[in-house]
Amino acid sequence: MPDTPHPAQPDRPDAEHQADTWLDAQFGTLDLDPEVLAAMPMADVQAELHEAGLDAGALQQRLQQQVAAPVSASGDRAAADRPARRRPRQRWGALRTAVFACIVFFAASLWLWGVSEWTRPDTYALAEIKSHAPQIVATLQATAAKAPSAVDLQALQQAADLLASAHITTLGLFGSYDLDTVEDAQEHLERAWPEAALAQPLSEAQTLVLFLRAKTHLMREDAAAAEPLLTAVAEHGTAPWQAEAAGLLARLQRPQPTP
Amino acid sequence: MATPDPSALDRLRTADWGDLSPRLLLAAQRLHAQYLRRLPGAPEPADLVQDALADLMTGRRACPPDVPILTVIFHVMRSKATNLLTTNRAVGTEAGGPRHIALDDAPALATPIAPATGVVRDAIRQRVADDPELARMVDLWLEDPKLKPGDLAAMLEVPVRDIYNARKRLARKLADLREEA
Repeated sequence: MPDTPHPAQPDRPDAEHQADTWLDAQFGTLDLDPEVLAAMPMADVQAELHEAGLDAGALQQRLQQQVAAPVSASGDRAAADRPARRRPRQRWGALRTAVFACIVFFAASLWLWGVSEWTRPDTYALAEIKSHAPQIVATLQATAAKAPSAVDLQALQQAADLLASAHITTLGLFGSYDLDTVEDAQEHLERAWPEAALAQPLSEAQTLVLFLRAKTHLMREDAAAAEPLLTAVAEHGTAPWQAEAAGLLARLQRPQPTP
Repeated sequence: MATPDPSALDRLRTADWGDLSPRLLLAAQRLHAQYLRRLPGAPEPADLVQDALADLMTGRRACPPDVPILTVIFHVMRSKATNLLTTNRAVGTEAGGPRHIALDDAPALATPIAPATGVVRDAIRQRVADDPELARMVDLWLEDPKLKPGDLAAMLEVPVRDIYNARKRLARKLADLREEA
């Protein structure tokens, strides 16, 4: 009897295999469904996590910190957990701000230095004259109160030195103290100044005092009183008052045009 | 740039993290296993959860107020996972050969389940014939495989947890059948 082929086998095993595959795939979709995840008993959730070696407790702590912490501008994961990474735009922004701050600082420093340099001499002189002016005035007052023969030449010299150390443009400060006193003192000085001092080389302080006295006379249009003082400064004084005095003297001695 | 949604932040800050964290971690673990298992440098499950949370907090992803927060975070995580997978697939197929390991055996994204026909339908019904609830679910799915668990539960008039339990029973049944084979 010839071999006859077996009757067609039902494809049952194959159909069962396909059935299993279909069921597995269809029900497998439930594993990734949030509704089913939400409906899972917590014990089952914990059991699966335990089996996978995952720790939900540690994650819970991190998540709670994450939602409690302010959100970083980069929106990066767990800003509280790790140092914030700056984006390139932020880095450039910070660099630009730093450069701008440096330029502003440099410009401000330069301006302040310039202003201080511009005003330094006057400021120094003002401070100096303010600190010494009372002493000078006191000396002049003391001199004015004494007879010419009793003038304390040493104190007068000190006062003159102080005057010389002050900037010439600030001498107007004396006016705010007591100009009358100063003028009285100057008259005394004229009388008290020893003739011998005029013959010697003058110190810078003596030169200045004499020059100021001469200028006072000129302001009062008393050229006769001013001339010997100017001569003394021109011959024995110190620069630059020597040249100044010589110039004034030359102008005084120039013949006046007749009207 | 998107701006953070204050209501989303409120929802996140007042969430029950004791209940939410394990479920999110489990979801992330399953997503990782499904999409990212073979991807070099892919974020770990816990990182996936934190990334999704950061996206919501910064307003990069919307947080619809009428959707449960677990569902919202889950969808963000799934979107990130599938994005990572598709991005790396694209890189791997560039000219010059793959720069990453081959991802050809990575799972397909949202592969539709083929409808069963003929003897296979009978075989499916036979597999679940001894479990009336499973059988009813299978019948409904055979008609429309795209039915969501919520729809199934509504049609069967059972809570969603019963759908989960049915899934567990089916998993056990299939395992037993494999052992027998």
